[in-house]
Amino acid sequence: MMPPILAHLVNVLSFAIVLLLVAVVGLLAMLALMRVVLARRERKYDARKERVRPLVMDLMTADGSPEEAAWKLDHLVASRDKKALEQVLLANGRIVKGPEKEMLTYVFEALGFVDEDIENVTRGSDMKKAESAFHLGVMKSARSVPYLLRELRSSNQAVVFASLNALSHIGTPEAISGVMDFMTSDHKLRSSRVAEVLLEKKREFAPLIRERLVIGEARGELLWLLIDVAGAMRDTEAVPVLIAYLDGAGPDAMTVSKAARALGSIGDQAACAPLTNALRDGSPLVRAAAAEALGHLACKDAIGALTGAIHDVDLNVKVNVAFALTKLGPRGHEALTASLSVGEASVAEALGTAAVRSGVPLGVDPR
Amino acid sequence: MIESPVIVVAEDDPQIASLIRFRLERIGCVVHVGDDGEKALNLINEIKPNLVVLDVMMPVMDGFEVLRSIQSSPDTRGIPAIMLTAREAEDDVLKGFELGAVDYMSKPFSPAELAARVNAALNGRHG
Repeated sequence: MMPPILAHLVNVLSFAIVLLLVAVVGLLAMLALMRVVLARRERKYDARKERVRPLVMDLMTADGSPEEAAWKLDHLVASRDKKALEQVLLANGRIVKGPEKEMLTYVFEALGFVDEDIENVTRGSDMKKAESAFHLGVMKSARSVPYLLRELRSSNQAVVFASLNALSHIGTPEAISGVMDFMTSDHKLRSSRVAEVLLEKKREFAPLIRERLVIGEARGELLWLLIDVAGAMRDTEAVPVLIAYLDGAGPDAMTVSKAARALGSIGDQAACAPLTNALRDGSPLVRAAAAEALGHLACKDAIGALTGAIHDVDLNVKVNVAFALTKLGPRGHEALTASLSVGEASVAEALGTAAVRSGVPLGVDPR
Repeated sequence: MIESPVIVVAEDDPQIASLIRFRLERIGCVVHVGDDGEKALNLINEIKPNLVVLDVMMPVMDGFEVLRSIQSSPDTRGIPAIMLTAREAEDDVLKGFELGAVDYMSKPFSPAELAARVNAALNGRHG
């Protein structure tokens, strides 16, 4: 026979277990119900988008005026479908340019979507701000630029990135200049992300980057970023200012080596002579970068200087020199073979590394 | 221009595909869409269209592979192809032309401009 206290405990425990089970089942049922409701709402929303899509497509592929398109969308789309309409227009805004993009920019403004998103950027939560900033970029709303510039000071990185992205899409002088000023004053952002934004709108940013590349305008990480971006853009107009870094006595070795690499990426033969001179720089960082760039540019006149530089005291320089010589046709190849016959162990090592990197097996005509 | 030119569009993004379809239908084309390279190639072999619009980045087979296949078959070799891609790299442009594309457009694109280029290609005003 169970003592009464124990029986009581068993009863309480059983009741607790039943209660817990009921709670779990209730919770699961509620989650399932929420899922059904959300899925239904999503289906309804998708149906709304499908309802407006043909009209949007029709207007985007017609040769009508933006005013006519805005009028039709305003009068033919029910007010409850306006949010779905904005989404469909935004989806199209991301994939078109030219007259269709201009038409959409007009429509976004005329239907009040720009006002709504500016309102969100000004007063919304951080999530709303970031979303609306992104929308304003797709809308190419020049009117929203001052509001987006203000958000570059936000403490929320998502808001800053979205605003930065939007400004680069809008691309007006005010927007681009604002982004560049922001970069000069604030280096907290990961530079690779900023570089992505700059590269995305290279035509708009290139002149401003060139302006800031002038010696003395920028320094440190910002300058290195700008040099990298100019190289990645293959901005031929930046060649003279980049060459100036090679010739000048002031800049630090990292800056000069970055300028040398950028010149190699851009591919202008005007850089051959200054890069050849840089093979005699005091810094191995600069000499290595110059050798690599000479290889990318395939500077034929640099063969003599490169052949001498294969005996550099720094192994990285040797590797890059060997790499450059593999890119210089039969004469470069002969120079490589001659260097190897000297029997210097580190030269052989450099040649091996360079051959792997350039994909040119030694002994094969690299042309 | 041919009265109702038949165009095969190889594009995996439904939004872009329907935009192209709407625009080309507006200039009197009959448009068939394949949402990956293989489906598009099957359509091309079956229909023998007057022109193809090929996205470069597609699942199963990319646009270059489709173009290579079109050019290697005697039945489809003469079909002009316009490449459409998000990649603006010079190498891609050159590769497209080397493989026999008659024109090239990068995304984002203007549907009106694409229609004009399709017209030009159908009339042999390219290259």
